[in-house]
Amino acid sequence: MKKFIQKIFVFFSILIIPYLLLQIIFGFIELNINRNQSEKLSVAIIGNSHSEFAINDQILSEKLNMKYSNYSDGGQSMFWALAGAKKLKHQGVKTFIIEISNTTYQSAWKTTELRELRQTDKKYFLTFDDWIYLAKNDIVFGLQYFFKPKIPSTSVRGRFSRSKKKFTSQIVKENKISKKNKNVFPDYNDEPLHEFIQENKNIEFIIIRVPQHPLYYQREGLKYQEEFLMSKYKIFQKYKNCKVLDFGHLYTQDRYFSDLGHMSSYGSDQFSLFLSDTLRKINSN
Amino acid sequence: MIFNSIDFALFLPLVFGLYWILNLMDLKLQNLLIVIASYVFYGWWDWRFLSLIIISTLIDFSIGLNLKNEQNLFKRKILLWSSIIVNLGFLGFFKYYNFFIDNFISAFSFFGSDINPNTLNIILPVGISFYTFQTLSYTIDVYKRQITPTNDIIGFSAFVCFFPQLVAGPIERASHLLPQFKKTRVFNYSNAVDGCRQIMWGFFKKIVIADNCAHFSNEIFNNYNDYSGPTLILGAIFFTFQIYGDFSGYSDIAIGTSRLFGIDLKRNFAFPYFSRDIAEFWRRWHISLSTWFRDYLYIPLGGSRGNNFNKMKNIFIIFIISGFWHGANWTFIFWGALNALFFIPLMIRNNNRKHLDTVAKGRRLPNFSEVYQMTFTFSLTVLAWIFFRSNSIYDAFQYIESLILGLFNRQNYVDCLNYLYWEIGHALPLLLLFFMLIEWIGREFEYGIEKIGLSWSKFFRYGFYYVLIILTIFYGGPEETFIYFQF
Repeated sequence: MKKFIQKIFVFFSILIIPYLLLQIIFGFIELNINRNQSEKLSVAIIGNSHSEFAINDQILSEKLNMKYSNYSDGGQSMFWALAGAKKLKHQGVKTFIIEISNTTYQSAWKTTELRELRQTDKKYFLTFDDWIYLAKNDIVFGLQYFFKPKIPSTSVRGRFSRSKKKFTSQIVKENKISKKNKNVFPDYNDEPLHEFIQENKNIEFIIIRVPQHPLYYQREGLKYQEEFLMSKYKIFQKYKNCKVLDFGHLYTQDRYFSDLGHMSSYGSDQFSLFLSDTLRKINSN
Repeated sequence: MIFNSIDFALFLPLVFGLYWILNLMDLKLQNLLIVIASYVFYGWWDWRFLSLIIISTLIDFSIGLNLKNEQNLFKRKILLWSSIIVNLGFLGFFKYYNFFIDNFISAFSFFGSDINPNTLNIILPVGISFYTFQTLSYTIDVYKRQITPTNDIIGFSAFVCFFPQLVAGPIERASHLLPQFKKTRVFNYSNAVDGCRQIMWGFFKKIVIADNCAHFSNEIFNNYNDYSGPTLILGAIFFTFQIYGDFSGYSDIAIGTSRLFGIDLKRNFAFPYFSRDIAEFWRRWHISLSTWFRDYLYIPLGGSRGNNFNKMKNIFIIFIISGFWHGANWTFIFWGALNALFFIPLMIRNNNRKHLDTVAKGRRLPNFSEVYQMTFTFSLTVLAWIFFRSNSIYDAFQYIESLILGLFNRQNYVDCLNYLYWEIGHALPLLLLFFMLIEWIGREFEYGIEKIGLSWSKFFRYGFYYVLIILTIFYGGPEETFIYFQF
């Protein structure tokens, strides 16, 4: 028995120790290859599927003559969006457009485990506090994520996606209001985002809510969440380097949407043109 | 809890350590640990369904004891049928209720009378088909006086719910597994090392072969209208490897894990894709289920005795029930019937026991005739798997129709090559080649890598194991649950 345990221990040590060393080396490489890429990138958009389907970064880049990149990713919670923002900051991004809606607070750090396990592009940019947060919330997931192999790269997950669907009055399951969130404040702690904004006074932050279908706001429990969200927006507005742009009620017609929470191909083009005008006006002021 | 999860990676060493510490104390405590660990393992998925396992366990345990004392044949039959009705009742309700209701509705609608559908939203308890058959075999064996019933409820519970094989087999017999819980287990170093090797090979099969193939077979089967003949063949071949890697991989992990606990489980797969006819395939595929049906259904029905009609009838019954065991869908029934059709010509000509030995035994390579036989048998199984994998009978026939019609267009071959080159890439075909090569080398043993490297120097042997682990970590496909969990 003793011999068996010793052999198993040695066998896995031979595998795990070089693997951990390799992770440290990869971490250094990743930090170095990501440093200061500002000539390639100026403004980064982060968020979940709402901004993924709403903000056409190509239109913004053309209209505003700056490099805009959309890094929104379906189902991405604020924890991972923020981890991505840290990587992008390291690359030299000077302006962040961050999509925040009631779903942001609802989804906390995790929507589905499979989605979170895909987030290895941010692995080397998680702070010690982030790792503690993960370990506290789900030690098993934390270990799984820690051991997930990751080869150094400059890429960050996310993109602008053009919806091909025709409008349906459906709502994706992530946007549904759970029973527990109908009458209580959603429990996502946004303190790390506040800290990130306050610590980076030379970076400009734009908190944005993209348009949603009028029926999106008529669901049970949403009124309560709206009030909660508005109170959160007020806090963000207090920071000098942060603006809040709420486009949540901009469009009312079905053709702008593919479902209640996501914009259609047509809607995203229209909204991106509108957003570029708004941003131009803000910049000229 | 599934084997390819970090939960299991933490659970296994913990239970292993406690188990061998308790070995120094008391056998009953050790068995109790197995029961508790197995309930945790099962309850990790949904603790509510533990009640079904506990009810089945208690009923079969008490019926076993009553059968021991009962001499009256009529009363013995009542006891046996009580066990059959309760166990198959659970299985029937949770697995087949909606299927029967839906088909009744369709049948009535066909004759012009609409009835109000009243189907329930029933969750299928994981592994119900496996442990139901296992407990049933105990009661039937006790009834036939082939085994003596146990009066140790903890040992019996451990037999019913032993976690490595609880949710997807191998389906054990009481005569084989139950006595192992009655005697003190002794830790055997070489047995445990062999178990680790088998676990490693099981993970490779599941994570590298099955999960990678699943990615493409799901894509092709779910969008078969978008693909043409040769690509559809590719999809069916990927599923053929997926289901083998998935299920035999699970069995390898289960058997290997049991060996760590000093428990020996039955072999479930014996390199079925190297079979030279369909009869040999069925002696090598899901052996624990095939032998269950043979012993408890086929032989009581008359087996291969009697005239050709009787033989054909029995074969059809066995294969159709086997198909139905897999799931409440006509696709599985059709899959079973198709296998019966492949089997019957061999049976009638008394050729069904022609290939009892391993192919090319003692030789490195097969001869031309063996290659032809293996290729032909493999093609028949690929065809049958199309029905097994499709969502409906209609989809299966559409798939086959598109496959056949698409073979006569040259552009479809170009599309297939493009798909192979751009979508699949070179890694998966190379991994499949490596996998089949290892399986071929190890075909005379219990599992692929059982003897590979044992005569090599430590450096090369360990190197080989590290290569397997690294391939499993870096070339694993997107995580998929085990296919047989749904059965």
